[in-house]
Amino acid sequence: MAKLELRGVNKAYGKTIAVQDINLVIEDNEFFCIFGPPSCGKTTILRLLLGLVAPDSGDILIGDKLVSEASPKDRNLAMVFQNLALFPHMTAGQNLAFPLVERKLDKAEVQARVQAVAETLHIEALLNKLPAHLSGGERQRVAVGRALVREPAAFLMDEPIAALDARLREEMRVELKRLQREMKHTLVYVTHDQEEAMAVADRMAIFEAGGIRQIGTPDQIYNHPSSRYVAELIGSPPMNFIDGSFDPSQGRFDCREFDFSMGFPGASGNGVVAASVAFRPEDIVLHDAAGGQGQIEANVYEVEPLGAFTIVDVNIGERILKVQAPGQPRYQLGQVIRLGLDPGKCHLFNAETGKVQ
Amino acid sequence: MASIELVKLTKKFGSLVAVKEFDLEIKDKEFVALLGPSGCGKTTTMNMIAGIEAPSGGQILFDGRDVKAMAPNKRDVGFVFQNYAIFTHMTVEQNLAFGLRVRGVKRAESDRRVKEMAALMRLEDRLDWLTAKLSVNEMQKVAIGRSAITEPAIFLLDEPLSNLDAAFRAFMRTELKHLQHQFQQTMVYVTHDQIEAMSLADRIAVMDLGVLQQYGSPIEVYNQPCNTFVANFMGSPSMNLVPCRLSEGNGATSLDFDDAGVVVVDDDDLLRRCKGAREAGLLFGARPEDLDIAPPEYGGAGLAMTVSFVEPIGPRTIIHLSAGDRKVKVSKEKQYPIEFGAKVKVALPKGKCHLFDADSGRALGVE
Repeated sequence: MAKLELRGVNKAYGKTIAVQDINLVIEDNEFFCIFGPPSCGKTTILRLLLGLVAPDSGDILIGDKLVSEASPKDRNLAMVFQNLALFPHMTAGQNLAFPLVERKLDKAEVQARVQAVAETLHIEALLNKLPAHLSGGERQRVAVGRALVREPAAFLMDEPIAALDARLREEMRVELKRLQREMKHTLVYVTHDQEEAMAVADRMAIFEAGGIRQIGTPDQIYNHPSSRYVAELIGSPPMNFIDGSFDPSQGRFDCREFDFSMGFPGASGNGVVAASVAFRPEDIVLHDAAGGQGQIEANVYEVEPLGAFTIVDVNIGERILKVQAPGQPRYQLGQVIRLGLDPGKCHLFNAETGKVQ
Repeated sequence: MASIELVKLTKKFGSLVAVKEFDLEIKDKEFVALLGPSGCGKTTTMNMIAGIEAPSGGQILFDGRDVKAMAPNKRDVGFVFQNYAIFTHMTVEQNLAFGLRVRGVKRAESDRRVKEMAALMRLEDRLDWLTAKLSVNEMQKVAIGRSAITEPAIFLLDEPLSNLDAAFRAFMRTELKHLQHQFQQTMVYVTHDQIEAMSLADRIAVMDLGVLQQYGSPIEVYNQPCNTFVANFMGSPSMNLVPCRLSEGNGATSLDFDDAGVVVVDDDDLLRRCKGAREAGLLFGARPEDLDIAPPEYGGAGLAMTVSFVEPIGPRTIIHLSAGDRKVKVSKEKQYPIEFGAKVKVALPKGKCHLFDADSGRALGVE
């Protein structure tokens, strides 16, 4: 229902900087993920938006209205917590009505709004059931519905499904995404699970130590990381790196150690710099040693058959790289193979700045 | 040398049967994963092997010898837990050397082995650090190292990677596997994470509710699940299990998927599975990565469905499809071009389809 905006926001707790110079626009109806390692400032952003803490400097806007000084209840944001916190002794319908009854709305109005929300979320049939008789996904819908009846400007969620087991999490994230589409609300979602973030987000912001490193769609973040930090953080198994140097006059990256060289005609710079080439495990093609295809020779170090695909750990001397091969290929430990890299799927990072060269 | 054999191993806690008549053979130098959801009995089984818990019934044999009367410290078993048991007031070096010291290993020998282990675990530059100063990842490396260094005949690991971050977990998986190839110990590894079990183990014992469901190599368990529990537990996303009815007539066998259409079975392997199946109450099974997306006019065996949701999860695109209440997931490569709401045929792969009885959960047409 509303756009959220942070302009030049700073927040410190004593000497500890929580977030620094945050500029972020979360569009209306957007599913926006905030992703980063522990204590990178993710939760502080939610607290700032909610009004639980005030920024030291900078502005916070909700629906183009300046709210930096407004109290939490005047911001009309709905927070959904990890444990969903439904009242176990109330039916789903009573849980939905609760925030409205609290506000002393008249009975007909309460009924009408509960009904409308129940229809939006497809939970009409559940209204007379107690939470204990609902599935995980249904409970989530009711919890979201209870926030939705208040007609909030936006939803904020802090790791709402982190406590569930893996299989249930996979189902719930699909549920959540569907829910957000159906109710057409802005949703800010904090998670430390990168697969979850990519699965649900329209766009995501990658945080590091209180600052934003990159904002983009999951596709942009995964396939076009703007820095080595983002490249390392996103993807499992993680991205592979080969260290060497880049000569802008030749437009070439060289790694003497592995006798490996690759052209990067698009990259620029002043003079030869230390640099790394990065590539995803699934973008490496494994060739037989004999055929002469591929750029780097390596040995098979370990093989991890995962069914849908196989992770082949290969070593070049002491250095281990991870290859994700489709299907269930067989390799012998120690077998010599050659790695085929597509320059179009390789990234070049400056070793000093970590930025794309 | 240490093989392990469990014979009708049973553990009861009051009226609760935690492990029920568990038969399992673990060969010398084998890496076996006990895999299952919480409460399946995997940790209880491991505690019985270690001697921490006494069985209510059945036997545990090491190299054919009953270990019932053997105290835990006489079993030559090394242990690593989820919560790295290390001495935080000691340095990394002291932690690694501890097990050797209590065993009276000579100083020179102990120094050599500590150095070796530190190199293997990539802890060389941390040897004189207090372990309290280490990262969580490094602490677990020390915990594994200090247990492995005494070279026990049997190495038991209980969810050792659960507390680590995803990237480091992937790294440690490889290192653990490599460690086992070097030390050639018999390893029993308890986990609820099917990826860990698949990537590490020679054989996986899948457990549910205290009962062994299936025992086989990772690929066997993945490709030929013996029931719906195993089919569903292995793989991410899990195997599609789609309700269907069997009908035979005019010399043809078909599966009726209601809103997703009727499929004439033209795959010998699936025909074999259909043989002797009852008419209703069947579940058709196929792995998301084995299914293909075809245009709606596709003439081969396929389900008519609509794209309801697309998840781009990095290396793969998960496409969710539905037709009425039939739902299917298909896994394709990254940046796979597909639109919400697109009408497609989900093409069934020959030789990679499964059929289960919905009531018993049993896979049909397998020995």
